[in-house]
Amino acid sequence: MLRDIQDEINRIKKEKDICILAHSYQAREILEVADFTGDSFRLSVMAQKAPQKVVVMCGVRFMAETVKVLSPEKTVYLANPIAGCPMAEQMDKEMISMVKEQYPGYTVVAYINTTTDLKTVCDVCVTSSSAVKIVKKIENDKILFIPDSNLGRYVAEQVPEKTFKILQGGCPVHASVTAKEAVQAKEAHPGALLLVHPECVPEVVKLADFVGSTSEIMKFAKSSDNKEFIIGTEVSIAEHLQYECPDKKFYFLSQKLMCHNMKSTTLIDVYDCVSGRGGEEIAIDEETRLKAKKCIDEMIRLG
Amino acid sequence: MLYSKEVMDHFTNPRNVGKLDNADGVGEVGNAKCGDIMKIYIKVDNGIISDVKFNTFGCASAIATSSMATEMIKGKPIEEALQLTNKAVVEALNGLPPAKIHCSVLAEEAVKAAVADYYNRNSIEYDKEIFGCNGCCGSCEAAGD
Repeated sequence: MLRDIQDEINRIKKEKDICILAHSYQAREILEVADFTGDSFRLSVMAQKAPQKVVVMCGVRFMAETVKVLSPEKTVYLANPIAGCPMAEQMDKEMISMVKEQYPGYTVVAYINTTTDLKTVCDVCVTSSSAVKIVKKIENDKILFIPDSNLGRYVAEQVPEKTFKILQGGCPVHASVTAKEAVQAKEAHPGALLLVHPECVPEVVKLADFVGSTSEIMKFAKSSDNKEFIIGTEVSIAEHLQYECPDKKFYFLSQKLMCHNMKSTTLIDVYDCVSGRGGEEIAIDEETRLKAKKCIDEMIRLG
Repeated sequence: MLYSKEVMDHFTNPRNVGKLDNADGVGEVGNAKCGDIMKIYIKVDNGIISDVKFNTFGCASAIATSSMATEMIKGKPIEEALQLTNKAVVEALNGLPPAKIHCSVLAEEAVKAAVADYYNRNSIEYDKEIFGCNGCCGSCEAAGD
């Protein structure tokens, strides 16, 4: 049954010349029909390079928006319109404009997990894998980091020479894991290395053997000589790694690491979207797009 | 102005952020599904809330209301903390944008949950009716399993 739907999606996307992007947190059956998989920024870069004029994003809204910002000439769909990112929506443009007035002279660094609207009032974007490198390269010593306070604190620790103002936002999924759970997981699997995403709280990050973005965690686990790993990011990453590395063992750091938004897209949503019966076309006005793009261009310049 | 001076102040410089290792009561409301998680820790001495900390990952309004709520119950008798309403927190913040009023409900619920936890730990009888929520964020469904 699943295979039949996948075959049909593959047939339609070929017929209509559609490029499907799937974030790493998507289910295996969606990754299998995707032209590109990975983190949100990689996907938006791949979409730019892809020859197709129509792109379907299987992920959350800000990711589809980033694709549209970088590829305005393409028709971009979000496969399931209800898939949002709570963290991306925690801070709004009006609020951050007012915060900027309180902190003049600060460079506003926005995690890429922000809305396009919010990016219009920010200076530089970062991903979780590029944040430390980019913040180090920013000419200014005063950094206002939004919206993830845990990632912000992690970056601030790596770049002690700069002054940070960090606001109290964050990913409710990663932030829900406690140090107690991390200690318990390590005790339950003494031979395993704990690999943690910097969106987790600092007490959990401190216990990690390796801290990195989702892509970095996957790369580390695949190339490591170690045979067991506790995965401190969305549960699908442990599942994908287990599938790709059957000779190794992967454990969830916590069952709470389940992103409902990422899981809200199903294979049927992808089918409906490529068939023209579902999904939502992303529309961004040109002024907003250009302002938000400046923030992403600056990330590319410094990255 | 969309956000009051008080909201901006409590959002950019939230009071009582953190956790209490030896808390007498802990209240956790919201969940990852609804996008806000709020945890409030209270220390109780002779019926008085002697210390309070919070850890919220949510929108600016949720953070400002958590911060203000902790300020409003600190040093107060526990019964008085139970009287805290989201309306009083919003008034103390000099208002919230209408679309953000629902975020203030979370702070009231978190304080009540922390007090209920304190009562449960100490086998103190209480009227469970006063801890009823209005189910606005749908987290009850998730908490039920």
